[in-house]
Amino acid sequence: MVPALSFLAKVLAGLITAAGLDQLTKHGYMPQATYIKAALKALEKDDLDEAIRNYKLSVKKWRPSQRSEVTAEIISSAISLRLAKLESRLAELQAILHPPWYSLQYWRNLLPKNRDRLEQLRQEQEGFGEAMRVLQKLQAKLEENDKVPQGN
Amino acid sequence: MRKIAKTTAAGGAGFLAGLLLEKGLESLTGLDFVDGLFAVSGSILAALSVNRDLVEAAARNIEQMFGKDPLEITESEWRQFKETNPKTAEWLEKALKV
Repeated sequence: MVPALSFLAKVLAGLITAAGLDQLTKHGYMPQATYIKAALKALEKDDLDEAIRNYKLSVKKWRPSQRSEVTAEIISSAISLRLAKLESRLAELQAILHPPWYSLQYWRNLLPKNRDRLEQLRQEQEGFGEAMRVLQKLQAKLEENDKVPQGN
Repeated sequence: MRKIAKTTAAGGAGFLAGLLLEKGLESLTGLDFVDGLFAVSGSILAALSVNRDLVEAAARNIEQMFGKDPLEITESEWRQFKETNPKTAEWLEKALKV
């Protein structure tokens, strides 16, 4: 019933390899393509945090390459696209929530029947504002990476 | 016949013991050591397929930017994309030999 010694040796070798690879991966020593691929996969799943983390790892121990630069630009562009969508929706909400006094919307907003809807839109506006702040922080984080001296 | 049954039983027991040991080690260390072995070959495969991933990611951005398939964008839209994403555009042109 006891596993054979050779099997245990293989398990141990596998375990050591996994532990070693885990550490190498965490510290950016794996090939750059590994991190770029992981960053792009994370981006595909809309996980911007993970995408930026992997991009940063890709240039932590390796010199930035054309592929890493393109990856950074793709991530940055994906963030910008999301920001643009949020901005456009925020502009729409702004026009509804804070119209000029001479517009019809201004007087419509004063009607009690619209109060609940306006409150919902206000909450939506706050949520989008928060989302924009998060995205701006992520973009700053991504750009900050370019200023980090190599070999760190 | 008896020999076959004996070998099968021993094999089954060995497999179960190995499986239990693997799961035990995984739960103790939090590491999947089988995945660890595959990670080496995985990193080589990653290097080979990363170009395709880059093209796909850029295509998704183009789709989001213009709301249509990258193959359907006009020349002016491509120029617009090129202005905002110069490195990606240059890389795409090289990779796709445009």
